[in-house]
Amino acid sequence: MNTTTDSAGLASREFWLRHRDDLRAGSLATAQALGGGSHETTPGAPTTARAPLTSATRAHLDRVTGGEPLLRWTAVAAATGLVLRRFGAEGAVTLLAGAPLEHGLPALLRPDPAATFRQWLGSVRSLAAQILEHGDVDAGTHRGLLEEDIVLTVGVDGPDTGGPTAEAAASLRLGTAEVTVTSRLLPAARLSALATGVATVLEQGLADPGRRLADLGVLDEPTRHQVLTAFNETAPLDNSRPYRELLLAQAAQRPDAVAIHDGTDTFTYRQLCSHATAVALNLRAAGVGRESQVALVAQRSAWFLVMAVGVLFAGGVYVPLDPTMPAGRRDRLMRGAQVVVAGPEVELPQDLDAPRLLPEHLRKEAESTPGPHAPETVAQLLGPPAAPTDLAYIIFTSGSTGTPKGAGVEHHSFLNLLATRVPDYGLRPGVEVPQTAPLTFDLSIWQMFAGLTAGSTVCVVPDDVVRDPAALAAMAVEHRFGCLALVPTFVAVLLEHFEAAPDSAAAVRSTLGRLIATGEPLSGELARRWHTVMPGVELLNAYGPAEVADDSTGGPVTADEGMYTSIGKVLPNVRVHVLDADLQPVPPGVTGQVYIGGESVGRGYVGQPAMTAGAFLPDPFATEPGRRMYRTGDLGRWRTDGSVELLGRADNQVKLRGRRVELGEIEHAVESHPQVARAIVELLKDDGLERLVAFVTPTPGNAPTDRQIQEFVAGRLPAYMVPNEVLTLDELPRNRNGKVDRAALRARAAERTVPTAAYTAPRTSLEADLCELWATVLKLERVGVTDDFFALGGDSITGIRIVQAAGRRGIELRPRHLLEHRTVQELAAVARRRPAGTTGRRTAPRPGTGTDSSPAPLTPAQRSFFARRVPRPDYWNHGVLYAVRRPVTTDEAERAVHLLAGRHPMLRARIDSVDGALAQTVSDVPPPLTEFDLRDVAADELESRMHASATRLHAALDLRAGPVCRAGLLRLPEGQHDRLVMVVHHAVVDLYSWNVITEDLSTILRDGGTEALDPVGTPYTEWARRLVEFVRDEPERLNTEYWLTRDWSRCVPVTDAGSPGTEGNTREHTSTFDEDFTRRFVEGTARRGLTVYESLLAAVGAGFREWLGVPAGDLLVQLGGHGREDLFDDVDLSRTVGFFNTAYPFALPMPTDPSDVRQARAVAELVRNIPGRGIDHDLLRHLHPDPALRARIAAIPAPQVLFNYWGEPGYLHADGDGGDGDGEGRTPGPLADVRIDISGDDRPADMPRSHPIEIYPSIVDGRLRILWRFSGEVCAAPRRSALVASCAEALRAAVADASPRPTSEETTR
Amino acid sequence: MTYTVVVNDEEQYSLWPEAKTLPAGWRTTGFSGSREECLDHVATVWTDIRPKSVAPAAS
Repeated sequence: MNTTTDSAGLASREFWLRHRDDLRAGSLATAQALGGGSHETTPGAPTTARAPLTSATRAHLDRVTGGEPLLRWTAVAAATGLVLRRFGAEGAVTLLAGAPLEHGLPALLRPDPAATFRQWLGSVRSLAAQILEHGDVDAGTHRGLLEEDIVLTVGVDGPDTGGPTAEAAASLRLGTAEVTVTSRLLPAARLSALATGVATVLEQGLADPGRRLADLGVLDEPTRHQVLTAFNETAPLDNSRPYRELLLAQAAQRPDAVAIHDGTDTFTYRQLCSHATAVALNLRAAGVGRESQVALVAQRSAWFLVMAVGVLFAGGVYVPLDPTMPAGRRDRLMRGAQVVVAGPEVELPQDLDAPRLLPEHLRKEAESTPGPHAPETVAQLLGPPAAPTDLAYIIFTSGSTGTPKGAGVEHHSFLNLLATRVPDYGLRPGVEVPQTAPLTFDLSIWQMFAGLTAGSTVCVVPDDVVRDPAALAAMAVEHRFGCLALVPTFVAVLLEHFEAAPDSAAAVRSTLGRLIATGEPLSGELARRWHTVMPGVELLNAYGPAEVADDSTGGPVTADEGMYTSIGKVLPNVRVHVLDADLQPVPPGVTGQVYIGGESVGRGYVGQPAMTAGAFLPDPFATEPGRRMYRTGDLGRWRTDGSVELLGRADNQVKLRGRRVELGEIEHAVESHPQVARAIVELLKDDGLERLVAFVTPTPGNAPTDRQIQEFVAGRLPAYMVPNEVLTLDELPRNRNGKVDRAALRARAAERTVPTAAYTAPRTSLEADLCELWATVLKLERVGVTDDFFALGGDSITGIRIVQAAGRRGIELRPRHLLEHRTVQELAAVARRRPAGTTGRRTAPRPGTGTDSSPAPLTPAQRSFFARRVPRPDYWNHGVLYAVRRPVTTDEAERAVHLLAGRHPMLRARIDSVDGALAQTVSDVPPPLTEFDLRDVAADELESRMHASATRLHAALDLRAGPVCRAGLLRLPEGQHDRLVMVVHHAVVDLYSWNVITEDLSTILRDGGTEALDPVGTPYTEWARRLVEFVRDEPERLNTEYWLTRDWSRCVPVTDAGSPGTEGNTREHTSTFDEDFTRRFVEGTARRGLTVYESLLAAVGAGFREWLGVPAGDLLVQLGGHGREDLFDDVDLSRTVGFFNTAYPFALPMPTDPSDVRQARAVAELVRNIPGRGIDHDLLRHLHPDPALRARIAAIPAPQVLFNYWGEPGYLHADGDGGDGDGEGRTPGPLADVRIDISGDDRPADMPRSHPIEIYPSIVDGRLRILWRFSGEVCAAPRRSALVASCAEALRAAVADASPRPTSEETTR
Repeated sequence: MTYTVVVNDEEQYSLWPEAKTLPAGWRTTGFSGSREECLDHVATVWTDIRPKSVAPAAS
């Protein structure tokens, strides 16, 4: 490896950089496949695992490679890549090349399961050649190629190779007679499996190179036998006796024993047998036979159970439906029913063909049978019982698509389940079996039916008792329940009760034989607590999806299980497989997907062939041909004793910064915290900012803090798996089956906004000051040091204000720092406190008063205005009207305006032609003040007279001769504050400037002087000169390429009108959204990682698309920014009055779905990629020395739509305290009630408009307001309303569940 | 990954990775494609999920 870079090195560098991302991803995959992702990775003593090569393999190797070290490397690398795939790396993996290749170069292997082993060897050989060719890579490039510290070096033993290299976490070597793997980091079992896997692949692959990779296993024969056969060898169990016979046998043996009871009814075995037969006869009469579905729509009760047995007696299919489920859903599930049994209170669909039987009616008929149907007569009455392959029941499970899936189970599976439960749960005569689960939950199946085959008594426990742990415990004692089956969430609730009520716990301990946890993963910590609180009561775990007759594994759980508890061993006649992506078995300890075969495999999803075919697949390990196995979608791994650990759902696996993360693993780690009862972890992704959120319930009497839990988890898992946020809840929301309702949790987390989500208090005084500044400027109660500036609603304007306020406190910052370091924590690292003693105000780089009187060039903003060549350029102004809250004399007002203009030279500017080009100079003449006497004006005319007075000032500005600014003092009738109107030509002022003018003017009127004001920084004329120098001296800093390569061809024309019309024919619409909507919009935007500006732009784009009626396309829109860009370190524009705005074209891709966050993000991404936030465009277009280049930029098509987000204009809130609230508690100045609507006509009616459609959104007083300015000539009224409505609709869609309540008004100028 | 639509003697349909050897008792139907394409195909050819040995007796 070279450390210098020559031309060959450059080519290599390019090669490696091109593959860098893939190599990094591959190194992550390798590390995870090796088990390094979440294991303890403290280096220990080196461990070596060896796997011998058979003599046949050695011979094949010699034949294929001819002993050539490079070819031997090819073979071992190829085998290793496949083994890593078997260990869970589904895509590409990265190995480090060892001898004989350049040591330490990464090799990216992507095994294709469809390739033959021979083809695969060929691919790896080409790869080796590439690595050799690009071996001369510099050290810096090389270092950047890998992501993980767990790397696997693969090499071939030769005369010059030593032991494992220092940097390699694991080293695999092919010797002449064996494969060895050495590591200080990885578990010994994994090393051994790896060595064996490589040897096995070499053996199989070389023996038959035509085999496809998908058919090559990595298990040696003993391991393969262990996982496929030994772990699935179970005690013999007979499931051949039909259910009816089993029950009749019990009835014959113990007719008077209680079979079923609830709080109200009791049925003996004799009664059960007779009534079930009567029910069956009724069903038969209604047409029920084999495979006929009987929908039972009723609450759980003893009689319900009798009817269910009756369905099975009749040979029908038992289909329990919850009477309380939404009718629409229930009706769909009833479609396949032959008969519906439902009480009169249940409303059935009108068009239901199936006959309806009433439970009460069935009961009356059963009880009025003259003599009971004796067991021995049943066969005669009902004929032969159901056959093993007949369908027994259907349980509906919720599908991920929202369509319920009916899992059908045949009798042989059903009987097998019951047969396993009888011995395991100690079901026998005299034992009471509590039936607690809802009927629609598959746990209810054995709870209802198993005990009856063993002569036990089934006790139907009412719902209110199930939900009340104290009542449930009391009932367990009273009825001496032998077992109790609950989901872990309920187990936790029950344990809390026991911990709080030791007497109840003791009573239950003396009666209850075992507790069965099922339906959800059981945490090790919960198991430990159970054994602590309930010693002597066996804790069993049971696992199995409804699709395969509920339970497939089961077994005891000890107090010392580690993070994952065992779900037990394989149940009799069931087969469990843990397989990789190619359906190959994985060795114990390696995570794979759990598949279930054998007797328990259900028929499939009734009426859903495609879904069935997707979930039930050929079982390659079955002893009989043609069998199927079920893909559970659960991740699991074998323990070496043949029990299984469940790690969570395969679809619960998320990608977090390139790593596969199993949420269940994090949940287990959180639950290992002794103060945590239950934990659910979700990755909230759609919120823009990816964050792991842990929802926890504490154990009784505890209240772990977020930090404690995070630190605890950090000690067990890699940093990237530590939840970003911990939400402690009193209880977790549950669905009807008692399982945790993840959707409800996600919704709850989504309601929370990012700012309050993870408050981290400041730790230093600098952080504390910055937090306070942010909170003041952003108008928030508090700000944490990790809160994101944009997520809090910050933008570049507020950034400037923060810089300004920070300066007052002696903290030095640049505006760009806010954009680059978006949290207080990061900002504090770049901020500097000025040393004590220099606490004075920020020193201006250049004096800010009228010393600069030489002509200065115009800025791009000014040039773009003059380039429009409007007929009356002198008349294009801004006007603002203030109420003056105390009496002022004319002299006072005049003096204040003079002081103001003394600070801000541009208010005294002149713009004229100098040497053939426009230039600006600053005069010494202050703006004139005119007094208007409106004291006798009638109230209803007052506003129009004020407006008219201001208009007179507007019409009297003169760029060449001056003034460019006029003030008016409006004397109003008695009892009203006088008004001060300020009129300034737009070429010397912009929106931001008004914040400065308002604050300064108000302070001057309060104090009579400018002492309290911060000095003004860089003069505008200085900025204008600097821009020209900048473009001349450093044109390479501008992104010319970007602007010359934009594709404008997708832009859809908005109108084909040639001229955008005149200002006088402008039609304005204002949409105002209420505070609630605005708040949701702003918060939702922040959660999605977008700024308000970006969100608005995306919504407007979607609104335009709808309005234009096009399927897709771009909208050519002119965007604008405040333009006070942070280009020069010695320039401070935070208090400069002038015209800075940028204006540049943008091809806005119009989103097809305004609620699609991805499309909004794509828009945001494009906006963020505009070089220099638009100023590059303006500088290139107006200031670049090359006229040809300027012309090319100017030739970009002219947008017909202008979009300019005003943000939250500070001056509009001004109550005289300076607008931006410096938090220093100064007395407010006298200016208030800022109005711009009656501040005069700021432009002439005949002025040509720049765009047919102008859009100015802003947020004023917490309300989102969108000002639409349409050209009356171009856009007819219905089209205008349609566009406003369409964009409002798009905004509504962008805010989930929010309906805008805009009030719209139209005015004609 | 490419799948192929397979069927057993009970006329139960399923999907199998084309790259892998098909287990005993199953035969290919000749239809291959993406997982979704195969499932769509199954939906058109397999209308009753009852095994062959059950279906005629019950209907």
